[in-house]
Amino acid sequence: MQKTSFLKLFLREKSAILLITLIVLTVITMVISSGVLDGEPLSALFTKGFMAKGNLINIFNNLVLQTVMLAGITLILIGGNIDLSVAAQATLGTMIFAWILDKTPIPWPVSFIICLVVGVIFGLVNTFLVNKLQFPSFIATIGMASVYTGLCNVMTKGYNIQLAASAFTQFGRTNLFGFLPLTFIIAIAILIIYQFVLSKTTFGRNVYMLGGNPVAARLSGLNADWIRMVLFINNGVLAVLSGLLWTAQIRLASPSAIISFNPNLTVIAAAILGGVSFMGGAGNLGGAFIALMLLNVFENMLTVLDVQPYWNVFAQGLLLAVALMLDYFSAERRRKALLRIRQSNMAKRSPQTTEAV
Amino acid sequence: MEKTSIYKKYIAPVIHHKVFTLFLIFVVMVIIFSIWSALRGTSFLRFAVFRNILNSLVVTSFLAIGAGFLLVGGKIDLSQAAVGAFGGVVLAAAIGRWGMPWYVGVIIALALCAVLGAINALMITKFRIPFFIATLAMTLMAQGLMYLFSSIGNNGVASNINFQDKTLRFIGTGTIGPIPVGIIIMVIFFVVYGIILSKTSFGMKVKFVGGNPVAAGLAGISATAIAYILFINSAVLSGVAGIFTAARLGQGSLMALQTNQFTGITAAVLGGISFGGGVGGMAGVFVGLLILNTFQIGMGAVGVNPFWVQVFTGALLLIALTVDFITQKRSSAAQTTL
Repeated sequence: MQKTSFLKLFLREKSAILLITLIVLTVITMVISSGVLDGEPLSALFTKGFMAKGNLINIFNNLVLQTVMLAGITLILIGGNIDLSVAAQATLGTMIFAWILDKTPIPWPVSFIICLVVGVIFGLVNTFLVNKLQFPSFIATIGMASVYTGLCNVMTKGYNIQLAASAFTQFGRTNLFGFLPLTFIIAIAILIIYQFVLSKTTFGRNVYMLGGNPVAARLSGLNADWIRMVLFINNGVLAVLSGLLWTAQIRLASPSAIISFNPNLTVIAAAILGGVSFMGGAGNLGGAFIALMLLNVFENMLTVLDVQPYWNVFAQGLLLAVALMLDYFSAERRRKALLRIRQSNMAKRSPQTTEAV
Repeated sequence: MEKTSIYKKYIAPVIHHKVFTLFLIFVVMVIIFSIWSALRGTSFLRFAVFRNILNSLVVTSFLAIGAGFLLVGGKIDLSQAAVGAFGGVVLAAAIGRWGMPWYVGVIIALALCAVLGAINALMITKFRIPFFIATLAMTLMAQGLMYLFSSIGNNGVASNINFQDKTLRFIGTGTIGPIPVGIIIMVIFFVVYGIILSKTSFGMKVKFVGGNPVAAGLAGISATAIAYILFINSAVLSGVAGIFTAARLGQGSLMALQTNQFTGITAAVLGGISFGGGVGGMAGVFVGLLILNTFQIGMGAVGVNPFWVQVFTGALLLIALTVDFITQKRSSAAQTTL
């Protein structure tokens, strides 16, 4: 009894379907890309194609930037806002970092801290726009994204800045066990910390409350402005941090690179796919991260399997749509099951009520 | 007594209208640029400059009308730019590769765009996918389809498609007298859509659904039908924007409209369409676009570094919203004192 109910509970979780899809996709890709079907030995499963060290490092490296952004944006989304300037914030952060290293003798740890402070400023600007001027965060952050992107280009007239080799860039290229980048471990650690804050602290609960029902939150004495400020500042710092980790990997700061692959929308899509409500008040980082992995592994899988790149883009869009349709069907089934339970309860109760009458 | 009533009847509504504030911003901007350019020895207040400004907003105006209508209905479409680029490539492929006459190409392109819009609406109404993510998925799908379309008959390589067609060239770049054809078409679209939104029962329904979906449902308005119409409309208008871009370039470009993902929404919001849906008009959208483009062209005319222009454009959006916020606050304060 206990066991089955646990399994059922797990399957009822939104992220369970995503996790199963992820695993199935990974296994299929492993089998096809390793060439086991063409007579390679079984050990090739873990050494060739998808599981080759180069490919794994590639996947993890790509995930770092998005994972750190995810931690910030998911919190913002749960709190009932949105931030579309994250990619621009990250870019400007990296540009400032590289500019300081390039033009001044300031050592990189100091520059690193300066950039995180810049992240705090990004957050404060958004807070001001949303709290004081009461702009919808959607449009306010689009405006700020334009401002930041422009500033990045102004700084170097559109050119990239190369980073000289240092402990910082060395750190960006360090891999544990040969396939696990150190930056990825940091990203995961950040994710775990934020999930803990979200689910185990009063602040986390308050964020859910603010996003779920702002009016009730205000009536119960929650300081909404303050929570929003913390969320936006946190998001700004994480955005800059994600950019810096990316720079450490690439050894380059570019005014257009991060924006060009649009991590902003990917991350928001992953969050929503992972069960975070667009209207705020629901979701967690675990589901969002699984969804993010799914999107990335799917993209990588299409590349590894030599799918024509034009189909690649289309398939990614299709995956998003289909995944959310499945979501709809499971929600619908649950709704019907609930309805049936309620009806059977009513049926049980109704003879008693008639007797009472 | 007589005077105040005239003021109340004719002048007050104009002054308190959102569009009036925007128009003031526009006028102030023109004055500043005129003085600035005069100081630099060039002139800004010329017919040619304003024709340029209007000409530059033709393509984005179609996006803005579609986005504006959707926003009034309480929805957002992020796939506009991708769908528009897809439409342009389809048109170019139809004419340049398959040798179809231009009108067939236009019909095919718009029909395919309409299908994409219908899929958007299907995802949102039937499967209850949040519009943000549904239209984001559509962005990716439309991009993929665009690449695929341009690679058909080209050895599987996606590339820009050149084509030549006199009629489309005339529509894109020709002039009737001193006025470009594009501007005339744009004005017609704005007038027609403005009338639909403010004078017809359909427009009222859109506002109703946007302002209070639950009440609209109880009143017997089918939100689903309206969502379908709005999303198809938005996709077709994006297609028109894509066709215009292609007609002007003589090329179906894979990079077309790439920077315009948020332009339509930005112009609509700038033009006073509330983010929650339910209010707003096409005049505001037009003036919103006018401000954005006047600003960009004016900055170019006075010789500001284009990178700074990007910075200031973002700032301009926020400033316009701030002005709007302050006037709204003042008018609501005035109403409470009344």
